[in-house]
Amino acid sequence: MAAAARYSSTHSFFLGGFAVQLTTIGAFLPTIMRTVMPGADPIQVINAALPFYFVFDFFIRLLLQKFPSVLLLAYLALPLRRRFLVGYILGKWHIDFLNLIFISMFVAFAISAFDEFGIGVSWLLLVLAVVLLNGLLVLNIKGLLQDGYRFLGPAGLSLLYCTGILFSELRWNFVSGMLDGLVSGETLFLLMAVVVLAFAYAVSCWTLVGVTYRLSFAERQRLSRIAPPGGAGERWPELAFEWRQMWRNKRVRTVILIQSFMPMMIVYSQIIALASSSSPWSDIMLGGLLTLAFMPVFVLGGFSFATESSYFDRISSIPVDWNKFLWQKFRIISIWIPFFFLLYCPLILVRSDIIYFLISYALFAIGVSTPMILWRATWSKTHFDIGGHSLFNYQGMSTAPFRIEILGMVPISFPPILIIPFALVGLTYIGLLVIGGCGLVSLAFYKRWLCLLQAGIAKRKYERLEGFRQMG
Amino acid sequence: MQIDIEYLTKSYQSLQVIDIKALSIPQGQAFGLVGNNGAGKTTLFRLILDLVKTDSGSIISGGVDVSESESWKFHTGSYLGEEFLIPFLTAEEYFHFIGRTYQLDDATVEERYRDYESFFSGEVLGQQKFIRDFSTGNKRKIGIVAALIVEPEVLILDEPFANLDPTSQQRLVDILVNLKGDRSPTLLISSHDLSNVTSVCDRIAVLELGDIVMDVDTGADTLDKLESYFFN
Repeated sequence: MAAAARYSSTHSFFLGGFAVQLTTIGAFLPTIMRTVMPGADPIQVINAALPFYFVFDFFIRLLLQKFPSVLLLAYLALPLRRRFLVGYILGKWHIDFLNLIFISMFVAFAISAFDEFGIGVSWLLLVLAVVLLNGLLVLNIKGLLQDGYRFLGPAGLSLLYCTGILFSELRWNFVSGMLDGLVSGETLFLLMAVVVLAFAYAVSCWTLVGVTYRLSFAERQRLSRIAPPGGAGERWPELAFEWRQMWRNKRVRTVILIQSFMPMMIVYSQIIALASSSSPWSDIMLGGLLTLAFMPVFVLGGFSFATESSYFDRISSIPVDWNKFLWQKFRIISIWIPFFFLLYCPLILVRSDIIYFLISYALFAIGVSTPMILWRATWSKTHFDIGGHSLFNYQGMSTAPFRIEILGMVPISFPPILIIPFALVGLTYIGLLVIGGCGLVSLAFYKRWLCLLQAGIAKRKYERLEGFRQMG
Repeated sequence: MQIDIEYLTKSYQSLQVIDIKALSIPQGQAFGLVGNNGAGKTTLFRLILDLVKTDSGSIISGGVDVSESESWKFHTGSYLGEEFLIPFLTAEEYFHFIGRTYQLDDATVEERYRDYESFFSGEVLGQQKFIRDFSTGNKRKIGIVAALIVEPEVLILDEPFANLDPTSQQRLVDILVNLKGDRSPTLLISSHDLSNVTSVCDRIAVLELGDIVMDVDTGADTLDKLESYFFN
């Protein structure tokens, strides 16, 4: 305790002293500059140097700021609301030595250098936004590293390095331009900074929620393993188990087969008709038609979750690893995507650029649509007896059994919508790159969304059990 | 494993279905729960299995609050009804599925479910039939055996004697009585069959509108007491 107190007091003394030094530098910097560089505007000089400071700040944070996992673990044991915990961690993250530099030096500089109060405050806020953004960026990177995304460190740094080399001139000009623009009264830049910052906060909250859930699940699993009989662990049986549930039902099998092959007629005939046309509208049409190619995946998704509604009581009362359970659900849906990809590959003979559409749509279907189906399914609480319902007899039936399919199909509408603006400005390939990129990025974060889905299952467990039972 | 329940309440809308101030079931005891329809027997078992959220109170199974941890699942076998069965699996596949979640190897699982062949009366194993196509009695047998093969420290069975033929009922009584001798799991059974439950259980509680109104150790006159309670 004594050592801790002594350290704490020394630490505070050191920081206080440093803050005084920085405040002095900040306050006298305009005067020093005017003396050393007569004729130069100190604000423009600082603005030109700021991008370098931001990069330096980012790397220093990356090296020095530690993700507060110990703090999180300690608080997870307390009866605190997760939202409060996330807010607290975010707040604590900002009370940092590097932010002290900002407050001490830049505030003093702004007071001393700016004649107009409003512009001075706007300038400060914009710089603060970039500094906070750096902090949040580092928080997210460290959060991902916490989740085992070790590749992200070197990959992120390499990417940063490459983009730095390629776009350094552009970037410097942009940031400096923003700051100069602000000085000349263009508050639009401030608005942009606020929007970017709000987005960064939302992403950071998402990261922290993900990490806290992961940590709390890890803790729960650790507790669960304290005394299992014979060293038993949690698991979920193999993929074949999932397959059996679906494939053994004649009705489901028929629906899957019909849904798989029926769109082929429409897609093939229409694309052959479109082959000779090359306009933005033909790209948009192509985007829409190829959506049908991956549509059966969503029907499969619906069935995959319909099966468990009959025996959710069972799987909730045995030691099931929900993470593995979800992973198998993901696999059973996504392994169909390469099949549909191959089914439509012959269309390349009609129009070669279809391959780009197929690749990007397939990536989107695996990386974005499938997790979205899984997410929606964690909300499902309607019993759906795939053995009992007459899927082809619509008379006298409520729409309840079909809702799972209709909502499951919502994600497929995203790629054809996303492609429209790009196709209209003649950048269809960029649009496809964005669509495929979304899928790839999401796939890179699969551990994160599996944890969030797992949290969703745990959170809504009782109401789902209740719902499945009532309809049963 | 001992089960301790304290100040447990559960309501559906305005109807209180469980209101138990204290109930302790010691390790190795065979505890029978009897009561008329709607007394709350199944709800109590669902609460013990954390399948229903409690309004208040706690359920501690083997020192662990069932809603806080999942460690109790490794020691608990249960069968409450058809919602515990997986319709498009054969009986053998279902046993292996349950066994795998408890990390039992396939050979052990097979060895264990084959021990119950006489209970199945030759109507379950090797039938190449999905569980959904079995009769209600055979479905119940499959569910009960699936709960038994994991050799749990706590075994929870809801109405295990219902829909079983008299021979199977007697075989089940023998299985449960022998179980007490072999491994002494804590046994929780609910039943309308007063005779069978008296044969199996060391202690019987009567549940009425969610409240335990009678709690007696089984003796020579227990069946008479229960009959007099329900029939008069």
